[in-house]
Amino acid sequence: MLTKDLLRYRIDDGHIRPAFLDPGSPRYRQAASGLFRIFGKHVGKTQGELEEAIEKYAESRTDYRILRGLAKVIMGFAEFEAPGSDAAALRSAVFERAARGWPVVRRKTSPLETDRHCVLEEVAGQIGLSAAQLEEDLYADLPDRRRLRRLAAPREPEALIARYNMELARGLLYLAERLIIDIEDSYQDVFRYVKLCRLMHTITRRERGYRIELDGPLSLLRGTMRYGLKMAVFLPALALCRTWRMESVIVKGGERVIFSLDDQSNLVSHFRRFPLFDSQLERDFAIDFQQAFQQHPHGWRLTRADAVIPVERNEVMIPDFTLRNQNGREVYLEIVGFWTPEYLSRKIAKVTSARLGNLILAVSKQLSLGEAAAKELSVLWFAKKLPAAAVIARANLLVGDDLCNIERRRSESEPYEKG
Amino acid sequence: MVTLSFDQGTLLLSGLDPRVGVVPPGFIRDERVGSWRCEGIGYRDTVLWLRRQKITFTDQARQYDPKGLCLRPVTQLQLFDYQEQAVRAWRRSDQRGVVVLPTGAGKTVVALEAISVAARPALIVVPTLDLLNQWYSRLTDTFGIEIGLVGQGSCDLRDVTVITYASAYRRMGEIGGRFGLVVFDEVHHLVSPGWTEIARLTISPFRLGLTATYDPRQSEVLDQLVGPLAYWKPVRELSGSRLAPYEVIRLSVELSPEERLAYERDEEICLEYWRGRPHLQSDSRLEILLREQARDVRARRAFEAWRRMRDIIAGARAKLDTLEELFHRHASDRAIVFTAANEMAYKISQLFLIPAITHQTNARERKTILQRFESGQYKAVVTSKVLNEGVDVPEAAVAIILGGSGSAREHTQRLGRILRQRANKRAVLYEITARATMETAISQRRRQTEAYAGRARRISRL
Repeated sequence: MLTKDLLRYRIDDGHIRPAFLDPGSPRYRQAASGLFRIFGKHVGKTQGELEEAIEKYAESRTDYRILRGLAKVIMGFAEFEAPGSDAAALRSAVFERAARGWPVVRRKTSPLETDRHCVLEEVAGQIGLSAAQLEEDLYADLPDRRRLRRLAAPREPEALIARYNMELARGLLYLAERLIIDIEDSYQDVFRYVKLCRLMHTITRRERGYRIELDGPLSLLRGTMRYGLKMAVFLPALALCRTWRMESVIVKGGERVIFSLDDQSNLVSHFRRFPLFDSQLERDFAIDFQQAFQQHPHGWRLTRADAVIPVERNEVMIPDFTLRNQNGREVYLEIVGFWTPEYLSRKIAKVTSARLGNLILAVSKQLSLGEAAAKELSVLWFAKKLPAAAVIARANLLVGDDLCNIERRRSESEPYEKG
Repeated sequence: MVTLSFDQGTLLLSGLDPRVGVVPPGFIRDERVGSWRCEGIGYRDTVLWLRRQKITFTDQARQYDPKGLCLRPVTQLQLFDYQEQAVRAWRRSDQRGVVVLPTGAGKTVVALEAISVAARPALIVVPTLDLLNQWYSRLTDTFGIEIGLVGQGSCDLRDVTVITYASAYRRMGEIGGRFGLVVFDEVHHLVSPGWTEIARLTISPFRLGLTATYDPRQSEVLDQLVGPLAYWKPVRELSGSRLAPYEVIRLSVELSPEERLAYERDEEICLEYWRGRPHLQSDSRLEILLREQARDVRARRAFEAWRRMRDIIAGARAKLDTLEELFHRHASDRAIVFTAANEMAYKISQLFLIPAITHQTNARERKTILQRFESGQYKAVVTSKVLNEGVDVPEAAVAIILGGSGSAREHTQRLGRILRQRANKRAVLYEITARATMETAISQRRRQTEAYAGRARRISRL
């Protein structure tokens, strides 16, 4: 992460914009290569020497902060050695011997004094080192004296610059009190990272996709920047989406300014995506459904994980599939393969709290451990594979249900809709 | 079923009958979770409110036993009368308040007694790693139980735990429901924006703030976060009875010709940068340089020049000669040397083969060094910036200041280091400065603080 002094941005007209670098720029690709070379040459050398070399390289340039910023990003990937000898033990031995002959002088002029060099020689001799080696190792455990073991960085200059840009954006979010994002895809990935980063969310459904306000428990009670770090950590997850927008208000230099980015900002995510299909079951079902569609046009279309439903305790449920018919009616499908009674009852509690009349919970009879308590919900049981036909039949049943009931339950299940 | 629970530094109240119509003060409706929410600090008032309204509730917020914890010192604590007064005053203040005592007057003992009296799991918040280890040591010796430690890489939570302000800021959301008493050492740190949250995110009904410097302008904030000013004993009142008399000797040394040449060359680089810019006192100039050096090549050069000047002054040959001479003169006395920066501390350590303690020194080594210093095995110790605030450093007869900033508070506290009651032993503080350098101005400002008044003896040469 970049420290405050390395952040570069412009404030115009109430908006703050990070000073992104163009990954294609020859000047900065050269600078990146130059920095990689310095790191390469310093494998085996101390961090202090590395920092000095970087400073020399950057010192006289007018774009000093850019160079130091790029170097800081690379430094995040540097691995350092733990020191070999026990420096603390060496110190203890030397100081003990020196104290016995106190006071220690640099050049002895009386028998009451102890010569510094003699102390070092004596202790060094006892350990089997030279006095010079002993002197060097005495404080070998200080942070800037540890040695560079290797660099686990992406070696392409473009990747470094892209990562630098992401860190510039992240740095501004440290000062954010709240983050608002608009997304239309990749819900599972985004919400898994929201949960991982321990952020709270408030969701509003939009015409296309969702608007999500991210903050934390204390945000409700007072403006606080304590979740800024979490938002900064989260940011690369947003860049996994194809279509996204974010806006945040940050306080910089006493001013409240707007910080916004979107999918055109050219940010690259280095976060891992979660696998598209959780299991073979889902994969097989999707294939089966496509085939069913080919054979009998039944009027339903299948999409993957594109609905976000708020449930209790500030969590969300993203059903595995959404079925949509020609009239625009939606039915959700959640497939449960492997389960224990506790897992299933938790799942059912989540689903119940969502109060949806149009969710099919399909549970496998195989791989189950114990009895199910699934009386209230219409659980769709299946054996080895989940047949598309059964799902389609159930979906038709659900939409054929009392229309009024469904409308009422739906409006009750969307308390977060802002009018 | 009314339930009060703790959620990341806030209180959640659920199950309130809407017909009751009222909600305890400080609570706001949180639609994200369908409950009422308020800051952790509101715990005591909320419980009192619920009781007054005769509402039965389940208290899931308090994560410790309400019946109390037996925390008896292994050997009974010996308190001076003013320390006893301080504890009594704090107790009368519903065990919520601030106690102000000068450095060296034994604030720690006041806290130990308060912890024992409160008989609840206690969290002690301290500003530095050095204090972290010091408190850990005192608490272990006093109560004879495993003491928890959070900071410097470790995280071990126990009934009595010491934590740094920085760690507390990050973690109070998680641990704020576990302690009935929170002690803020050097509580003047608490009022910095951001860190006030530490006090807001804990439920602790009992709070004790300790400091040697109380600023009346902060009283309102401290009142909210900790409690009212319960007890105040200023420096002068105590110096007669408990603090030993000491001598201040100022030594002025000359830079060598080479050093003077290099110093003046760098000084010219700095002056050139400042020409045409409004006249400013040196502290603000440094701040400006620090800020500008990242974007302006000339500021960077001036900053590097300033750093070189500082290094020349710190490592001046005459200073090292003087230091050696003082070690010689005080060969049988325990001495502490104070430097401004870590590098200088390590340099002196390597030159004179004496241990150095900085914020980088780990707990075990630090404890060993101080133990050996106390037992007399080590005769001298060098330190940069740590061993400054309220730390119980073994008594030294001699303190030598080789450099450091001139803030009044820092020097009140440094004096406290050597102002220990010792039978008939006169302590002495040496201040070694380089003549005709920026250090001379800093030293002059130092002399203007209250504690130095009327005590200095000036000597121009050793």
